Amino acid sequence: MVVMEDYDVIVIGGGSTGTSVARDCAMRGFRTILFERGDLASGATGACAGMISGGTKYVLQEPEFSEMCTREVVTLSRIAGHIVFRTPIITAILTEEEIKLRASFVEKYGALTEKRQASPILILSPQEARSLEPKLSNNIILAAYFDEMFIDPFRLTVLTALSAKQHGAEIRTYTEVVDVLHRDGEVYGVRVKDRLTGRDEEIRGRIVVNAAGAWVPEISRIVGIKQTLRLNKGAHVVFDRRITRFGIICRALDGRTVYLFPHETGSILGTTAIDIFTSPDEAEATYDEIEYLISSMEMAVPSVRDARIVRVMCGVRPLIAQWWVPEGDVTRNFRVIDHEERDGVRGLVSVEGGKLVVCRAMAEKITDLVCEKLGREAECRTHLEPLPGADGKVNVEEIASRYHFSPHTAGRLISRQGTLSSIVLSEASNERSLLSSVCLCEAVTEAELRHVIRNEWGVTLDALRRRTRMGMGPCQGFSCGFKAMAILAEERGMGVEEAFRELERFLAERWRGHIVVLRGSQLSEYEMTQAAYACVGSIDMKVGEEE
Amino acid sequence: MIETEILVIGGGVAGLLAATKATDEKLEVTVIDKGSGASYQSSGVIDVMGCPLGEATLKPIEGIAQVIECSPSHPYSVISSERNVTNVIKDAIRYLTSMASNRGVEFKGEIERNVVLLNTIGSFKLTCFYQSTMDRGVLHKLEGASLLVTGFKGLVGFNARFCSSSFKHFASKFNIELRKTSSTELSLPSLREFNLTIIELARMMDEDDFRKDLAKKLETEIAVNDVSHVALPTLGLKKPYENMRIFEEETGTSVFELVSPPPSVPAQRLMEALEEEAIERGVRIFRGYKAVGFEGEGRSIKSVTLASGEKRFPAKAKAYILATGKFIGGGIVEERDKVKETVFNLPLYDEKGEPLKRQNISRLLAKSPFPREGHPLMGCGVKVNAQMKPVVNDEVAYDNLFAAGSIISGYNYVREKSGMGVAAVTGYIAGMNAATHVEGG
Amino acid sequence: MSSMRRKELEHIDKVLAEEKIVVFSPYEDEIYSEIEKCQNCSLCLTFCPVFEATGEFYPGPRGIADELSRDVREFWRASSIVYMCTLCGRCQERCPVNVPIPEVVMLLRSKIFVQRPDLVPEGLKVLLENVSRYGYIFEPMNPEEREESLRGRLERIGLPLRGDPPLRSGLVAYFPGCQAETRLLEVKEAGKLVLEAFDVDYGIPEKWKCCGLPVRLIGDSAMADELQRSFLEEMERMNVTDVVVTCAGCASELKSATKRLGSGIRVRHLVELLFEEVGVETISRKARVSDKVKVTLHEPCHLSRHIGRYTIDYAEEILRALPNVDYVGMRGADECCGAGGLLKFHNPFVSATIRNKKLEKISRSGAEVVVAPCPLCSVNISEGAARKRVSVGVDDLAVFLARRIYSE
Repeated sequence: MVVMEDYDVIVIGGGSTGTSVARDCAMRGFRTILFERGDLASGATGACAGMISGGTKYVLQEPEFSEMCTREVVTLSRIAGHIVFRTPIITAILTEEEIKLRASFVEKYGALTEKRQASPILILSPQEARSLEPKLSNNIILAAYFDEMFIDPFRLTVLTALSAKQHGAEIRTYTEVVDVLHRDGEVYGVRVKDRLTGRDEEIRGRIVVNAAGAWVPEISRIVGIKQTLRLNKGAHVVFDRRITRFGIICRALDGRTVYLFPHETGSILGTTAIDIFTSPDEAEATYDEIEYLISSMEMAVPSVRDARIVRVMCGVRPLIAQWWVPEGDVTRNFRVIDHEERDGVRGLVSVEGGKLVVCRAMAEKITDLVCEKLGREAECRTHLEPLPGADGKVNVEEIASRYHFSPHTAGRLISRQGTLSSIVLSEASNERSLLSSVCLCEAVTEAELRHVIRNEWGVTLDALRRRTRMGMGPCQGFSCGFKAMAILAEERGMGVEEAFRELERFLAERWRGHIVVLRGSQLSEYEMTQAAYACVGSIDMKVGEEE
Repeated sequence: MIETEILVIGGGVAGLLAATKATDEKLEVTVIDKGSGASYQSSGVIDVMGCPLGEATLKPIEGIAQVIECSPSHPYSVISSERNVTNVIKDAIRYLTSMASNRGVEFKGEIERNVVLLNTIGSFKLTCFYQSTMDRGVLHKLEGASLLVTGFKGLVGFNARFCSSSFKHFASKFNIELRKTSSTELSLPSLREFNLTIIELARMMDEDDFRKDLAKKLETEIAVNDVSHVALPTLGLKKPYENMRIFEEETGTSVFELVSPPPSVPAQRLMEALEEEAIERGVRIFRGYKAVGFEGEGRSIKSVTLASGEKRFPAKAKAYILATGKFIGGGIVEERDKVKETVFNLPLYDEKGEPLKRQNISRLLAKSPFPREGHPLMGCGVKVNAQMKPVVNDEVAYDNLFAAGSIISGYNYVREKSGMGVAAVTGYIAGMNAATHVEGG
Repeated sequence: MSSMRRKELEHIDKVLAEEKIVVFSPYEDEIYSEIEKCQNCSLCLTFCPVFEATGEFYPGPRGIADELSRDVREFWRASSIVYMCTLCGRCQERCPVNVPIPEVVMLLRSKIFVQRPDLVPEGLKVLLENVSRYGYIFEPMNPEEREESLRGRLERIGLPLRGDPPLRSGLVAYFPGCQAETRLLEVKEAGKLVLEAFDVDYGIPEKWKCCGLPVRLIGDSAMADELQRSFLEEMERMNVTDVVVTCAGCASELKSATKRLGSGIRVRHLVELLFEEVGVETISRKARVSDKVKVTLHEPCHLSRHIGRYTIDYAEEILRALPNVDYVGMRGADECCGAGGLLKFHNPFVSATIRNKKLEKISRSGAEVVVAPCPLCSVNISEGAARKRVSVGVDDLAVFLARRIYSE
């Protein structure tokens, strides 16, 4: 057991909120350390559709929160410009009843759009809508156009963590908080376990911020605090490409709303909402959820059924515990809890609820509280300083011709790394082989992989995937997995067995999201990867060891 | 309209073998091929039985015996009811390797034992017959060797540094000690600097100038390293033996090529050889035609409908051989929870010989991607009798229809490592029996 | 539409432009989504002639699928690749799942043409100007020059010069194509003689223009659509139900135009018409006994893969039916001659490399004459043969046939 030096702030949770807290605390001069038991953005952050909306659903009930969302959209576009994009959206209306339902909303929502630099809602005739998006069904009776901003949630989280690090914070991934140290009603640190090395450590800090999302209650329970959240599971179906040019919103079979959004190189269809009462660790998307989503969207976009699904993903929303209302009516606002005030436990702060778009604002509020508790006055500056890579525009053609490689590959790199792209490529001037694409689906070069291994906590293949999109394409990591394994093993000095175990873990994770949706023409690719890994690679064979 | 005596649907190993075998009987045989199937995606070596019942074995004959005892639906078991299965496998493989050999692709190996080969991923592969370019690298021959793993700058998918340590590791798992392993990454000006594929590298090796440069580079490497064996990701497409000889002469070491996942140069070499040999022996190969349906009359197939562009044609034959493969070949497809055979709409069976129900496909898949017990889905296919005639409810479906290769159910080549062996033997028998059927009128 | 409404809709256009979102037609979408089947097996690399010839910077069909298949906002990023493709379609034929790379390439070229016309290779822009100016892809010779050249050519091969029979209502329309009209002049004449010999009632449309294929290959699909629409409309107006074509490229393009535009007109290549309407026996009976000659067939990509392999089998049967023609097979008969995709006009070096490989295969076949049912391939192969001093005769199929069928 190693006992570590003291910190001002210990943050638990490496999602969009946790990293934002670490960044804000570090920027305000606190000695900060963050622990994430898996990879950054491996919880709800990584399972969302990336929409940073002005609060479509909350305009009517929670105008103030809606305004905060609106403000944050503008802020994120400014501080993370290269990972934010605008998606035009068509709401497809299939019944008369829906027109009435949507009318009052349209008006109020429209009033906010100017502030967000977005367009008002435009009503389209079915013909107009179909000429814009030919994949829409002939059965729509009316359509409404608006646009929303989206963000890459993985990159947002990693860049926020990077910024935190630049300001002095320590970020520790794959490090699980196994105990919260407390005595006499005061929390003074945490005990953590490094999940890759198995090593235990004790870390002391003046304040612990519990930003563990759906796992917040589990952390609180350690110090004897009962904290209840409404844990709500949401599944998304991910398609291999942009199957529509516009985002599509329509009513689901049960009257809720479902959406199909183009996102990066694919499309995301979501989402379901099922309250869960077991551990969030066990949440899995079911066949019925997938069928519900497809059958619902099929009404508006008939061809969605035949599109190629690459996987399903599933996250757990840590909603504020409001009951007796459907999930959709639960506030998406957040609550910062001072456990000293609420439970008489000093040194512990937690956060409930919230959503991606307000992650920075949540952090600001939490850090304000931290300042108050630690008796320091410091201004929040997180909305002013751009995140790493977002401090300028990069010309794709210029980078492509400077390094003499494909503009497509250059473009994909720039969409992730922004102005850091030339740093990523710096070694490639002399070592041209670094420009090889390891992942063909997402155009990820060896240079980028090595960069994220060295600079962005890319310690597992899974982590490389979140930072670069490697393995997120149609083949789901089966054609790049073994290539990336060798690179990771080399960079991290992994042994052969460890490397192959890592590869198996990575492929097993991909497989879990893939198996429920594997069908039709994908089976050809399935057979090929089966043959490549099992018949050629013998990954299924164990030799010379007991099991 | 095509008229022929025997129509083979599918131009993979099973189809080409069946076709050539039938041509030997002086019959007119036509192969139609809609695109490359699983054979082209293989590693170009012949697995016969590597993992019977999920356990690796170095003795394929024992493995086959085990399978015959425990899995009555396995093609080897089905064949064994009429023939000595070991003998017929030997015959089929001898036939296959002699076809290849006539076109300059040489095989080594014996049915009595499996060997371990190293691959470009950095792991190993168990197989029975292998191309002789791989001979020096057969693991048990490497005891005490000092191995140089030779990579190429910019070549994607082959990391020589990683392989050099992993080969040592895996060799020790098989109780083979490599005295030393080292690696190098050569950079040759005529190769592209990045995104180099193994196909291009193989083509370059067929060029004299490149080969000379490479030999020189290898010689330099060997001068600084203490090396007895050199492993290369490929030895070239057209002249691998010549290359091997030259490299060996220049460096004074033993040189071999590694097996690789697709795109595999040895597989391409083998398939080109089989195609050329089949054509040479009189088989007609029609590429770009796809079998989309058939006309039957009672227990007889009258014609198969072919599609070419917008046109549809009947193809008439006296006997038909279905060698369309599984999912890669397109012999089996899944549509809305139903797994179907695509040409004759034959009912499908699982590995145990039970009829396949309509069900969500994920029920035929295991929870992990590469389980030792395999995915049930890979054991599905049509059921055949010992003559390779598809059967339905234990009755022959059509008197003039035969099946060969991975369209057949009852075995899981992914788990078993038996793919090309089963393809060869079923193709061989189907070809013989189809010929007998036609000759018998 | 009110001006306010127009302004509202302009907003959508603005967002689409800013986010580089391109709206596809359902037809385009269908082609595009075909790529989703690609499984990155890389087998296509083995069969791609351009990949073999360049090796250096061209990532092959797989590269096209990888780079372009998914986030489709910035087509121009693919320009250096898609203009290199010869559209031979071998990748599609050998692909386990038959991904239609040629169609995808055509689609991408058309998007690049709109998005970044500056990236269209210079050598191709000239061709486009020719079509605008003359209606043909090549600048026509002046009438006297043409007449003289034609007479010389016909004299050499012993065929007579006839006038063009005008197209009348209900006849079969013979579409000669730009190559035969402006360069390989004897093909058009041979086509006429063959049709005449087999009693096909045909005429030549009065004001025909480029079939649209090269225009589409350059990326100007609007102009290609217009050329095709007006040609097919004119044919419909003339009550023409059948069009016969001697050029493989024109035949496949006009065929797909009828499909695209929903026209009921039947477009066939000469080999299709001969095989299906005349029959091999008649051809055999009518043909003169010439000197014994060893012949092989070059399989134009636009016949074998764009229309269908059956056309090649037709051509082969026709050749086999001719007396004293000793037909020999050729390993690699189905490989591109290098003229496809207009590659020749902006990258003659790579095009010639592909052609040289083809010539090696022709030589190896042992044939004295290679017959190509396409004037474009014929010209390209014979140019290559002359340059590389390969002693093999090269004939367009129409010419080869006419010389054996025509009698005074």
